[in-house]
Amino acid sequence: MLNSFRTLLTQNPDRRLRSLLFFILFYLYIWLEVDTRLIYHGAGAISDFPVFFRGWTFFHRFTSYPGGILEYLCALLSQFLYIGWAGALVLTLQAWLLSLCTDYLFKAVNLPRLRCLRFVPPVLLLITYTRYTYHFATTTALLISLLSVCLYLTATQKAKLSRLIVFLVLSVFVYTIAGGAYLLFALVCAIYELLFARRCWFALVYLLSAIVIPYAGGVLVFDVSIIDAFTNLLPVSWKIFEYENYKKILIIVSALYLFAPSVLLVSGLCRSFFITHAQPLNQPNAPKARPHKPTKKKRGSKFSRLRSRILSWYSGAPIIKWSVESCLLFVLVGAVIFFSRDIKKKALFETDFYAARRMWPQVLAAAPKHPNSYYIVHAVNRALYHTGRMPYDLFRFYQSPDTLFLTAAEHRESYFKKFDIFLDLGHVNMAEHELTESLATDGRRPLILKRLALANIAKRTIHTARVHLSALGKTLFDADWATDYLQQLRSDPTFTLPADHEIQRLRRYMPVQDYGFSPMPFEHILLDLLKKNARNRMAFEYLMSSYLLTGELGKLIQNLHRLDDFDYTQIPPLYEQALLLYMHKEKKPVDLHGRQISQLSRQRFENFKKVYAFYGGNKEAAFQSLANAHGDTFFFYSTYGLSGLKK
Amino acid sequence: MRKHHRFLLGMLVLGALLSAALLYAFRAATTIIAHYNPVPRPPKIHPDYTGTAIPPNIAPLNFIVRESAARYCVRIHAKEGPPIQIQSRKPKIHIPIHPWKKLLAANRGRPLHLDVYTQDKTGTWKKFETITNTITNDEIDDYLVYRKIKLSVMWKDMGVYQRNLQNYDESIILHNSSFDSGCVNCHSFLNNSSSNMLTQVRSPRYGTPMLMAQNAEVSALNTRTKFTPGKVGFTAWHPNGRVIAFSINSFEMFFHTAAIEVRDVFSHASDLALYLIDSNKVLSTSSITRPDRLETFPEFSRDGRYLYFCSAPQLPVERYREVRCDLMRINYDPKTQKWGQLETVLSADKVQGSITQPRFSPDGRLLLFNVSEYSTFPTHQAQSDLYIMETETGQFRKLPISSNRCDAWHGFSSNGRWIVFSSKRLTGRFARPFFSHIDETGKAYKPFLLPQKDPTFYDSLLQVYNIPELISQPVPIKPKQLTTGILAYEQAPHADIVTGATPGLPPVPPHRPQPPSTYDQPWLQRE
Repeated sequence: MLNSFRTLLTQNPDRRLRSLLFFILFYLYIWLEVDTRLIYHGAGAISDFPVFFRGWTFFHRFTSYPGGILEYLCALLSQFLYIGWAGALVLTLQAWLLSLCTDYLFKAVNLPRLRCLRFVPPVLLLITYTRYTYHFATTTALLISLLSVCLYLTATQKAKLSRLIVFLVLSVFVYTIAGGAYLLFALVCAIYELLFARRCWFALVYLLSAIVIPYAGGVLVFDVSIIDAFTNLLPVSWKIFEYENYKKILIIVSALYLFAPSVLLVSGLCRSFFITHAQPLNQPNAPKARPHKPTKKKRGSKFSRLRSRILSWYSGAPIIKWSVESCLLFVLVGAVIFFSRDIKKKALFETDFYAARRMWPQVLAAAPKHPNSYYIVHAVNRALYHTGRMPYDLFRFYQSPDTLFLTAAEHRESYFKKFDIFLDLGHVNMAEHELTESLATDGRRPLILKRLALANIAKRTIHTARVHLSALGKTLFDADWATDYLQQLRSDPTFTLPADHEIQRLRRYMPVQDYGFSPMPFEHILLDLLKKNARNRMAFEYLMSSYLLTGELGKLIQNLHRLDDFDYTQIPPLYEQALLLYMHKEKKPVDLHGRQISQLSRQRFENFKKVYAFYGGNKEAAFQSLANAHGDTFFFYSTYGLSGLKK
Repeated sequence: MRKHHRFLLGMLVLGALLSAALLYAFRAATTIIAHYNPVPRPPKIHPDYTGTAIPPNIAPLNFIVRESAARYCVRIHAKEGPPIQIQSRKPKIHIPIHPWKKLLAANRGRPLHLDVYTQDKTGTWKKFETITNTITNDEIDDYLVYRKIKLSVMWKDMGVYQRNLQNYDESIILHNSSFDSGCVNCHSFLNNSSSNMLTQVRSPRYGTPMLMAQNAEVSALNTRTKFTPGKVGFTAWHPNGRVIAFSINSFEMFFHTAAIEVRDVFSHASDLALYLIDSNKVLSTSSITRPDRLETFPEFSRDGRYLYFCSAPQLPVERYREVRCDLMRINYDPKTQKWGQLETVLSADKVQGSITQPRFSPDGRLLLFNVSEYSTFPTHQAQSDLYIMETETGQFRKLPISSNRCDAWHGFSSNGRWIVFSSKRLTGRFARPFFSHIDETGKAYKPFLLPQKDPTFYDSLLQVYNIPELISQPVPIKPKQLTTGILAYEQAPHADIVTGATPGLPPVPPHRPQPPSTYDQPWLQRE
């Protein structure tokens, strides 16, 4: 088979060049546009991204079911998605091998015209990546199946080995390695034997083996459930189906699985029904097809003469032909990718990825691609706080009371999105709760383990922190970080870690007074944090923002004195706007603790009132003008409940 | 001979020579280290298998030497039989299983010594003080059944497993991935025998069956009646094997702002009832379903005459720190199904804490229970201790083997000489199974951790072990049978209610509807 693949690679330099160009572009697109780091990060949306730990204990559990070994290898390879260029290389290699297998398959069954379809599997793969889903193990199982089909075709064509023995050996191999993807192997081999090699008995035996081998191997040998025995690693497996986010994209993965067998089936049937003298493949004694008798060329019209002249010129100009076909291919693929990519989902992944790495300017830059997502606004609010813009620019973005802490009912289990806000605020126990839930739902990701270790070090529950650090020490890329902390904990018997700013910050802010709560409003949590440390600026700004978003201006004014605990040179404009509105509505002055409301805020308020009055107090009529001029103000949010509308 | 055949033969010979060389290089050194510098302290080993009593049928206690060295040598010896000597460049000490078994079998009731030597880079050997453990005459049951779960309220990757204690084999009894990620909770066995097993399931899709496995057959019991509408929590077998006591608990999870344990559990309602296997009936009495009390953790006395349980006042959640359980008992006659008088065996005031999880020794002489500061659910307490009571005298004491962390989910071996419990002493949050020997006088010896093939196994394990139960034979039920039982639960007939036994039985107080977990929805609250 190696020789066959070598032939594939060495024949047709134009085809090679096109493939090379295609996969270079594929690689660059995955690396620079898709960015595998986002898939690795998962953003709480890819919950089945595998973790990988060094050591026998981790490997051992993969050996207990069919397809486990492939899952283990895929878990290892998937870790390279952490590094953009390396991840892109892994995914491109997978796509290239799929393309090569498809090409070889069509060549082996004598369908040379269909070999251009070798680009279909990589394109389908690319669609799954542009939509930020993870199906690496499923698609690698497909690759193993197709590779085995190619091996079967090669072995049975060239070697004098019994087909059945080759099939059986490959069956055991494919089933053990790739689990349910074995069904595809058996199906393709059966189609080949039935429609191309015309060996019906073999086809029947192979189809029967698709039932017998998973049952014998899965149910009797590996002792797994009958469903797992037949479906593990297939797109229809419950392990994939349980993820609601994946249901749409499963059509693409299923198409990827069904592509080769469908093409073979259709072309095989066409060949059987429409070509009367078609001969089975690989039968040396079969009589040769009757050579075509040259027929007299019919004289056509001017148009057909022109067409044949163009065609002959086109055929005689290989560079142009190559260029046109290649352009056509790339335009087609480009169009498919353009229409299938999910820009909003990418924005969601990007903001979460950057927020997790505390890359705040990048969060703010990525957010406008999908400004109404609660998750994105949640990340934006953190970015606004960390860049010192929260009391100034809060309403430059879409806001809702639920965005600060993701409190809407549908976000209750979005643990992955929530733990960082509590770590930022210094509420270590809340963070720990969200982290442990996220650990259960999103897997033992290094990012979660790191935060759990930090939270426990801050709490001085060092034994627990050590468990997380030890687990982290078995990962591929974060082992050094864990070892460093373990070393620090060994060398500091008091676990003070004075040089660790994050630990010191958490200890400065974390509540010390213990009480049980359920439910507890976030207002109480924030006040509790301020009670522990009045200089917890984030707790203060989030508290004030929550009052702005809920319109509780009385409470905002009650907490205005806290400005003195920080270094605000003047009252931040959004608070000024709230004060102006409050004073306007309540018709009473407010104690500003010696501060003044700026002239600019007063002017904006006057202007807002003027525009509003211009439209006779008609909210709907004034909307557009006010949105354009005041869409980023509290005045506008308070009136319309909307924000982020200023052009 | 063809050329490639010759090549093949050559390769085989080369391979054989190489294997022989490797075997020689890594052979187990049997030489005795004659020259060494003594170190006047015992070596640091992990897990702490020092000064403890071990059963003669336990798997090798593999450990890691926490002393930095270039080479390690461990010599395990006792009075009878050949010693075991292990040399390694790594600090992980893997004890060969067959010599270990022989050594233990030959030295029952005698001390077992571990000499640890380390060699530094200059080639000088050091010998630490000998570690001595005691091999008891009392065997431990061959299997341990436990639930392994993640620290999470989400029911992900949760399963009941059985572990062969003579080696390291672990197998699944029931994993929740086989039934749509439901909850598998609280298994129990009759007299440490695997032929009578109970476990409960809570599945949004398949319901809440109580799975009973008897003589290799599984039945999914539907215990819901108008008296027992809730989900089954804890169960206990009557010694006659025909009656099951169970609690119906309505738990709510809440959180702590600054405690070591983030989560805590509050019981909104809890009652007890009996399930009569032969007649598929549920039986209760007003004494164990009081609306003003939380009755939980049932346990039958070994003579079958009394149902022991824990009972706490029903309080609002705000007063969760005042929830303290008394140890109660009520006479019950399974023949006539008559209930007797309710008695307080031990009050919470007397132990200055909440009494939970009472478990009798097989001879009924000892009662092991748990005492924590408050709560009907000690698992989430930062600290809870093991207490023991002599049933004849009523004298009780805190076991000195209790740690400053949570020790709970305890149980006896079938011979009553071993206790197993889940302890958080190693890691603070992650409970691990420990064993302790109990002698005739009720004295408990230093506990030791369930051994694993890899001595660092627990160091990075992010799961907790709870409800460890010792059984004498492996569970004969296959996971598939249990899953089939769960899937067939919808067809399971409802249990009947026995009303004649306790006329005037008041219905169980309606369970207070649990408020939705809106702790993260202040805006909804506000409105």
